[in-house]
Amino acid sequence: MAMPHSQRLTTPRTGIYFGIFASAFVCLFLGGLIAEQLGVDASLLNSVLFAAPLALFVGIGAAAPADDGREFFTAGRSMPSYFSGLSLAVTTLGGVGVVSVTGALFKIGIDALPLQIGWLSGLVVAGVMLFPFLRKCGAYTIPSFLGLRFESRVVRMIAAMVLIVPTLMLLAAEVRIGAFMAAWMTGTPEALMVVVIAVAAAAAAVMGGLRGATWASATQAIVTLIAMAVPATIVSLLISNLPLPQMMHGNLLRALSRQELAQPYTAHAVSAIVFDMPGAGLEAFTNHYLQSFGHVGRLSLPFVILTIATGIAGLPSVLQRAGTTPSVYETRKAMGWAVLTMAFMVLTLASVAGFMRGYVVEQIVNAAGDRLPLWFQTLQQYGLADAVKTRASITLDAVFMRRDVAFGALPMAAGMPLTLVALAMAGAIAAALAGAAAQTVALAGMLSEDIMHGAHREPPEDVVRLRSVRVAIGVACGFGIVGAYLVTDPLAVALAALALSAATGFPVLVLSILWRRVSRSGAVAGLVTGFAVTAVLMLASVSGLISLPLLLAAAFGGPANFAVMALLSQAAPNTSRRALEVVRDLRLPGGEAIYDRDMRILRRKRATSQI
Amino acid sequence: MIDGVERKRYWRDTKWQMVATLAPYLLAVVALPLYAEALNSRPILGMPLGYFVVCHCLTTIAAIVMASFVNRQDAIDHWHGANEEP
Repeated sequence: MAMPHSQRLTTPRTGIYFGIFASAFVCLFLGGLIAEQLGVDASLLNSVLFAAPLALFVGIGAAAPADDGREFFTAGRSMPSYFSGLSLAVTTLGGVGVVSVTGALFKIGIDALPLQIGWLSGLVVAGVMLFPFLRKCGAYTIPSFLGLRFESRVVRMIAAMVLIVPTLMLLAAEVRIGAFMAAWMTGTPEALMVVVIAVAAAAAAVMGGLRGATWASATQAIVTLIAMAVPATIVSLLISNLPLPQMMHGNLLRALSRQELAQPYTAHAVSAIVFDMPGAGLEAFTNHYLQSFGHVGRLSLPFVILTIATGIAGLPSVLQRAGTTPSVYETRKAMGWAVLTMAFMVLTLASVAGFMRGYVVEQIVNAAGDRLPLWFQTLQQYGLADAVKTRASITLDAVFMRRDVAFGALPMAAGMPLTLVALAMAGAIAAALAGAAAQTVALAGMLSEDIMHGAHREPPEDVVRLRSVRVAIGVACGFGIVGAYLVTDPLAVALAALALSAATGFPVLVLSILWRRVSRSGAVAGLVTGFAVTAVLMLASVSGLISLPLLLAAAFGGPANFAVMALLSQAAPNTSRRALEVVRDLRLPGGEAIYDRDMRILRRKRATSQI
Repeated sequence: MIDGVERKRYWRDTKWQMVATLAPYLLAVVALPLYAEALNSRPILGMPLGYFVVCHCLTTIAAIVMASFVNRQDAIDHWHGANEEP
């Protein structure tokens, strides 16, 4: 029987391989549960449950080496749409989305929902407006796409220079949050874990590039999904007798809101442009879970959602995955799977936050100061939580918890075995590794392809390209380590990175596809203006000159980018015939990828000249 | 390879498909959270309505919108003969 076209072009038996991995991972944790009951030392068990999945991820990445540029930068265009979507969802969410965004939801309730909605909407926007066209173009990096589209090496290099900044910031944030979870899990210093996480992420990508990173991140997605679904489902069963945490946590919230009405909160009636997310340190609870506009103003709410969505849609680490599927149709399908997976993750993480808040209100509030639950005392020993007994009994505004503990602490609060606590932490670390590996590959690609070789008219031979990009992965790893040491709040850094991405890459990418007459001078001016306006506003805000949330700087930078690009393209149209042909080609899904065709012609030309 | 006239028609339909997919979705994403607190006093399926709308409805809408886009765009590709060769 003839196989469908799409199946012939994808890597065969992928489902079997990932099924074997999922089975091995489940067996590892079942073995952990057995070992725990047999009295194996807790620190040894935690170390094994941390190191074994880490070794598997690195091994899978290293076992998928790439021999040529097409394999390295596009995974050979052979990833099945489902696994490509799975991988895309987890790398987009990353450790920051799994740990910090869930923590923000836990601390301030529905005021943090715009973050999750923005993250999800980013994939929808990218899937509709950018992914199919980037797949048709087939360029290895996003600046390379812009260089091809505008037939300009200047556009390519400037795009690389401005897009490197948000990519590096996100890499640092992912490494930092992964290191935090790893240090908590193993009891080792966070500074050491920064190096371990950054090196593991780079090691998974150094041999196979995007191929290795995509295979590894698909397995990391499986681990993350299991790690978030299992504890949440058990808690849902304990509370409601139904294994549907995504739905049942909503019922808990009504009871929670009634209990919280008696709590003395402080955050009310903020100004319309406020955007104040909880920090990474020990902070008290300041508003009701279901109270809106305590931390996000009415005017800033739409801008927050749109900035995060466009920031996600403009990220090089997200967009470069457009090339991993065999065709444009498969790319669209991959986006469909990615949105579905992300929607499931968002709902499950919302349930984790809701359940955790419920445990805090139920077990700590109104408890006597010397009768705090054991899990809270454990968190106090680690310096992750504290409670001040200011009145006869503890009130919620006297409970201090670090934002990023919610995801890992839920199994502890529910009284689950140590192995399930380790499972949750392993899931968070897997998400952080997936995010870090994606940023590492994107950063290394831009450093090598667009900065180092971007000035040349023709790309070098594959051997040279692979050598230089592997060196660039080492450099990106070093940048990631240094950046992670400088990061104090991963969520704040990630949101600032999304603001920069929304104001620089997204407008140029969208107009370069939708408007044929965008000129190269317009693109350069747009990129520089968007980046400069956003960066200057951010610096002014950080130094206290203006009172503007960092994320909202993109609300000025993005429109400025669009406006300057449109005005300059109208005033000085200089679109070449070749650029118009590229636009015409990339709008049609059929036929060979434009970049693959160019490379094929170049190889033939080189072979002819050698003869 | 489709001719120039058909290519223009294909691109016009593709653009409208983009607008028809994203405009209502983005408006819903921006508008519904503004009403969350006001709706929370009413329960639906045992949970606060505002929370249900922002958390559950928007994520479900996103998944449906994307699935619908994939199918509709594939149909547009076939109508205009712009689909990839089998």
